Amino acid sequence: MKLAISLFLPMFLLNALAAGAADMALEAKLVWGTNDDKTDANCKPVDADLAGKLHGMFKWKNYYEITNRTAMMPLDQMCDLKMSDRCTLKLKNVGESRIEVHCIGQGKQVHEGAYMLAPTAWVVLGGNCTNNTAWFIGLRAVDDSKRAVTKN
Amino acid sequence: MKHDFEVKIQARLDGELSEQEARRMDEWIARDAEAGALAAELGRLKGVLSRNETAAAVPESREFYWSKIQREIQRMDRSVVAARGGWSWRRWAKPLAGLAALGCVLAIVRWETSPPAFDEISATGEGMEAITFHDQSAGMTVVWLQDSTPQVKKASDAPAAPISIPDPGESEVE
Amino acid sequence: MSTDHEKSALAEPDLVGLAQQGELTAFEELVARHRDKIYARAYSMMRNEDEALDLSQDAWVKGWQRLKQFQGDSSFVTWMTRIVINLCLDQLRKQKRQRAESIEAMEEESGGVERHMPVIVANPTEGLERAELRARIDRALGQLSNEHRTVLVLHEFEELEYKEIARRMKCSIGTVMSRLFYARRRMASLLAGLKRENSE
Repeated sequence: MKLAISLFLPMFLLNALAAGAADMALEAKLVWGTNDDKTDANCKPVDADLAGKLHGMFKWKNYYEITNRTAMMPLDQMCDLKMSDRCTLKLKNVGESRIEVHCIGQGKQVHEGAYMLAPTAWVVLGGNCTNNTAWFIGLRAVDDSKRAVTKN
Repeated sequence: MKHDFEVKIQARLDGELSEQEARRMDEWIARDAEAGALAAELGRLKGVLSRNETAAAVPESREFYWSKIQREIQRMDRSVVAARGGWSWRRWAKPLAGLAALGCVLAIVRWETSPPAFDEISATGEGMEAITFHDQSAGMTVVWLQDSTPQVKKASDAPAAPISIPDPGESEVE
Repeated sequence: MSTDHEKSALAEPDLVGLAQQGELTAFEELVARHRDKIYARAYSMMRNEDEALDLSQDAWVKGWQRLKQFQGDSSFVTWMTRIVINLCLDQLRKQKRQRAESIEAMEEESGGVERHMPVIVANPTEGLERAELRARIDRALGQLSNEHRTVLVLHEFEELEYKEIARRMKCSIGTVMSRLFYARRRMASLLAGLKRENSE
C-alpha cells in the first residue's frame, strides 16, 4: 500500500500541477464599432490598447465595449461565455496556448476556428451590423498574475 | 442667350473648337457683355476646380484592404484551374504517391515534436465566408465574417448580421 | 525574389514588370502606393464610402487579371484610374435603371432651374483658405446629380475630352456639353450659396 502511494502520489501531484499549468486565463470583449458618438453610461469606450489596434485596422470612429468577460479555462474542457442575449462563445482550451472558438449568433453557429492566444496579441472576430456599424469579439490570454476566476 | 451659344462659349474655354471657330467666339465674347460675363464665370470655376479636388483616403488599413483583394484574386485563380480541368491524375499518380508517403512520415515526426503553428479555420456558418489575416506589427489576428451570397457581395447590401449589438441600455458590462 | 522590404524601394516600372510575371507581392506594393488615388476617384463618382471601397477593390482585381495588357502607354495609375472609372460608370448605369424616373431627374438632363440662373459675377471662392475651399467644393459635388457630377469629374479632374467622355458615358457629345454646362452652373450657384450661408 505504502509502495503504491509513494509511486502514484507524486505522479498524481505532477499531473495536477501540469494540468494547472495548462489552464488558460482568457479575456473576451464584445465591442461595437460606430461613427456615432454615444454618451450613454453603458457605452464605455474600449481600452486604449484594443482601441488603437481597431482604429489602425478599421474605418469606424468609435469603439465601445459592450461586454467584458474573463474565464479560467481548464485543459480540454468546453467553456461557454455569454457575450449578449444574441451571442455566445463556446471555447475550448486545447493546450499549447491554443483555443478552439465556436461563435454562436442568434442560435446558429456563425464561425469556428482554432487560434494561438498570447497576452500581448488579440484575436478579433468581426462583421457588419445594421446602420453601417460593426461588431467585434476580441480574445486574448490574460497574464497569470492578473487572473480573475469567473466561470460561466 | 440661346443654349447653343452658351455651350459654344464653354467649348471655347475647354479648347474643343477649331481655330476658326475659336477666333469667332473670342470676338463675340469681347463685344457681348452677357457672353463675357458667362465666359468669366465658367473660367473662374474651371480654375478653382482643377486645383482643389479633395483627396479622399482609404478608410481601412493596408493589410485589411489588401486581404480582400488578395482573397478574390486567389478565388479567381482557383476557378480558372478548375475550369481547365485541374490535374491529369494518371500523369501525376506516381510522383504524388511518393510525395504523400513522404508527407505522412514527416507529419508523424512533427506531431511527436510540436503542434502546428498555423491557425485552422474549420468552418463558417452557411452563407458566410471568413477573411483572415495577421497583422504582426499590431499583434492582432483578424477574422472578418461576411455574407457570401452573390447578390449581397457589396457590404452596403448586407442583411442583418447574425451577431447584433444589444441596446446599450440593456448591456451587461462587467 | 526580392523581399517585401526591398519591393518598397523598387521603381514602378520594375514593380509592374514583376507583377506581370505573376509576383503578387509586387502587385501588393503597387496597390499600397496607389490605393488612395483609386479609392478617391471611386468616391468622387459614387459619393458612398462602401461602394467606393468595393469598386476600388474590384478595380484592383481587374487590374491584376489584365496586367499583361498594360503596355506602358500611360502611367500605371492612369491605367488603373480608367479601370475604376469604367466600373463606377457601370454601377451608376445599373443604379439608374433601378431608380424610378422622376420629373426632377428629367429636368436635370435638360437643365431645369439652371436655365434661369443669373450669371454669378462675384467670385464665391475668393479669400477662402485652401482647406475650406476644398471642403466646399466637396460638399457641392455631393449635391449634384450622378450625371452632372460624373461629367464634371471626368472633364475637370480626369481631363478627358468631350469625345472620350461621350464614349465612356455612352451618350452623344451634345449631351456631354449640355450636362457639363449645367453641372458648372449648378456648382457655381452652390458655391455662391455656401458662401452666403457661412457669412450669415
